[in-house]
Amino acid sequence: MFSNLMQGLMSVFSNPMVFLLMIFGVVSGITIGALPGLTSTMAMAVLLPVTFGMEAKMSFALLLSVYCGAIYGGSITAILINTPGTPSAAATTFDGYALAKRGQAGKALATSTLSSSIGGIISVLLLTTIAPILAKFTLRFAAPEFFALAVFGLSIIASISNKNIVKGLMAGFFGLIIASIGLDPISAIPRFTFGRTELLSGVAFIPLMVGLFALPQCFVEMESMFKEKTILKGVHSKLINFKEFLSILPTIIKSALMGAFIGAVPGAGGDIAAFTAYNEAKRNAKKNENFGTGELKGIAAPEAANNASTGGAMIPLLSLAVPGDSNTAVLLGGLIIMGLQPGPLLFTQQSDIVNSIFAIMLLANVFMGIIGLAGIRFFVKALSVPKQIIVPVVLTLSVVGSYSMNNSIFDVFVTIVFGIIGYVMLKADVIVSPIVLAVILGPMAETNYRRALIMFDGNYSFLYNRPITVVFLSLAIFTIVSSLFKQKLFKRGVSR
Amino acid sequence: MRKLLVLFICIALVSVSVFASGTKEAAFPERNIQIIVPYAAGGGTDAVARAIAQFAEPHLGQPITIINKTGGGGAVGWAEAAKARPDGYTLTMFAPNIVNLSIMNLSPVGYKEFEPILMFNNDPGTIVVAKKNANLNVVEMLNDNKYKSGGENPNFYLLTIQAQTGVIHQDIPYGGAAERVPAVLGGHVDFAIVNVGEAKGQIDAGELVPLAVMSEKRLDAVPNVPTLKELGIDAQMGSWRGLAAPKGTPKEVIAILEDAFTKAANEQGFKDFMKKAAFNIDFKSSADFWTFMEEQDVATTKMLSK
Repeated sequence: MFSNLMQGLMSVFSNPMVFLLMIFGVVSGITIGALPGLTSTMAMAVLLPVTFGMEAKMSFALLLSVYCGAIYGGSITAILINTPGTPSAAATTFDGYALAKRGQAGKALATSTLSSSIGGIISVLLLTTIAPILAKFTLRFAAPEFFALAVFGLSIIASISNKNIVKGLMAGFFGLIIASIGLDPISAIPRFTFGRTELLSGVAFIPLMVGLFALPQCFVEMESMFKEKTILKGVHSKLINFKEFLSILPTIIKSALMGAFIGAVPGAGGDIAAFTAYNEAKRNAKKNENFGTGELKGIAAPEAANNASTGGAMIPLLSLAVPGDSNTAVLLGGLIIMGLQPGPLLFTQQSDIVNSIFAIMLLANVFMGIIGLAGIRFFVKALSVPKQIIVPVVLTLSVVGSYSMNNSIFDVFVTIVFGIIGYVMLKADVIVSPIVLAVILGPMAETNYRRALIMFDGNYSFLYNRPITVVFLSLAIFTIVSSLFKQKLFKRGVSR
Repeated sequence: MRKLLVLFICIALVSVSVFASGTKEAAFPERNIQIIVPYAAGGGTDAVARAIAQFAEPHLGQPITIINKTGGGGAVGWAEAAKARPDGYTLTMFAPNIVNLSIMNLSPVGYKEFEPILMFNNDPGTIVVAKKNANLNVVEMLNDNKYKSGGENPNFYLLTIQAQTGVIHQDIPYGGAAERVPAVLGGHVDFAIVNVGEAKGQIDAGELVPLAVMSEKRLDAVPNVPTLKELGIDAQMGSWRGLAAPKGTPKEVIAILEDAFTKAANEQGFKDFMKKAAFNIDFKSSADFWTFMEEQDVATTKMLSK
């Protein structure tokens, strides 16, 4: 079963240059992922022309290492300064930052590193074994299924805001309104653009996210910048012990499987995977586990899932030539320029390169784990940097990052406006993650709902006579009801 | 002493500026050129821009940088390029939307705000169906409205066909080819119109079957597939890419750019790249490119007014 992988490993091991490129790729990927506003897509697009002259294997060593490294790197800043470096690390802030605040940043980082690495490895193993079957299955996703998946994703808002569901829903609906700005996805009519060309394609997502997470955090730290020296006090770089690792291993495996599957559905990426896995881990929580206060499983689940989505996303790319997200779109460009045509024939006619891709992804995840674990001591040092230095640095990076996404000063204003909104929300104790979920999933839900209505001539039967749709919609209802129930229990507990 | 120093600096500055303006008389280009690509890095338009830039650098003797400025289906990047100083140092990549968006009032600028330099490729629409429908007669399919199509809204390919056949198919709105190809493969729609390059992997594997192409002549990439014209439906429509500079760029500068980019486009390396990526080469000079866009403008305006 794994003979393909072995062949790939052999061919990768025969070339030391590939190794060097991978280490360079992983390190730069982690760095780019950790910086708010800089994304893996951008890094890969910049590196793509550099790889034109390279042999296919080397070019993929570089691109795939950056891809895997960046998805992991996003969790470092999510944990240390409550600012996810990439959208898929947004769910990691809940427990990651909470644990770092308790002085155990090392433990949080070790959990995220191990989960990311193992999640990535599991997804590669899945990719080598069941890629064609899973690709066939995802083809069954038509508009009604995508709509149901999006609704399920949106229902997670209820679960992540269980301290106060009303506040969470307010944030979610605000996000849906933001998501409706731009060209109507079905009839191509501008909505709420106020005549601005920049708004035709909607509010840019990365500037919005940087504004919502990075800026409010900076503003809060600024309040006490001259009173307290550093962001967190008494930081330990102690890692997790073997017993703790064993306790989170089942969560990692389960989340990785979920992440790989969600990644394989075109249009659903690491961000949705991470939130879904977090939701599931939380739903499954035992009595003594307090999600949101620094629970290890709350870090392991989103991190295993978002890295597992990388292997998942490769499935439609390689077997259907369908890029599921912007990262794989860049990879598709790379494959084609290399003269490799993804599709069913790639596996039979170019099995050598496919095996190398599998091996490279496997090794990239291993390197990522090693480099990440070795780097924790240095990452944690960032927390002992005085606030007066780190706050301006983060602010500058945020502005530069949102500008460089699209070389657009308009995006910088988007960041600042959402920074102020985020700060007000922070003061009012409203979490911002529902906005992120709504902005990602709102357009997916709307487009597919309307598309489905057109497909079935305005008949609503697609909501209940398609099995996959029914499963996701039921999961959505279940998530909402169980969150309401838990909130009631929680309130009762408090009043006693 | 101080006054003397100030005077000295003034003299130095004036002489530098005189010297600098002296070199301005020298041949274009004297510094790096930027190409604004209105679509994301990694996409088709971006790939063509990066490839031509690589081959044109030696001919121009200056580096070329690619700037991706996305949004509004291209409108944001083009609006930016149209505002740039018309000196030949800021260019942009054209795609069909430069004509279509301004007709639909979705862009503040259209092709008339630019001077075309060179067109690189024109990929005709190719009608594809899933393997199980391989034996469908394409003419019958296009004349029977029980078949459903999946395409972008507005679907200019289908509108062009409908203008000829008069049969209106149900057209389910999908985004790019990345959404249309799985929709056909999964049987959610009966047919879609894509570029050959966008579906090559599936066509080679026999999962998708091309039934007809919407061009004047058959395509080298799929020589056995007839044109719609051969089958009696004279509908032609393609997705094309070219290079342009803001309006008002001096004629001499356009001539230098056209010459350099034509030489670059004719290099074997660039042609090999286009073939590998399955782009259908269709070079058009600055003047021909302008005429071509005028024709597209008239045809599309007529189509949308119906």
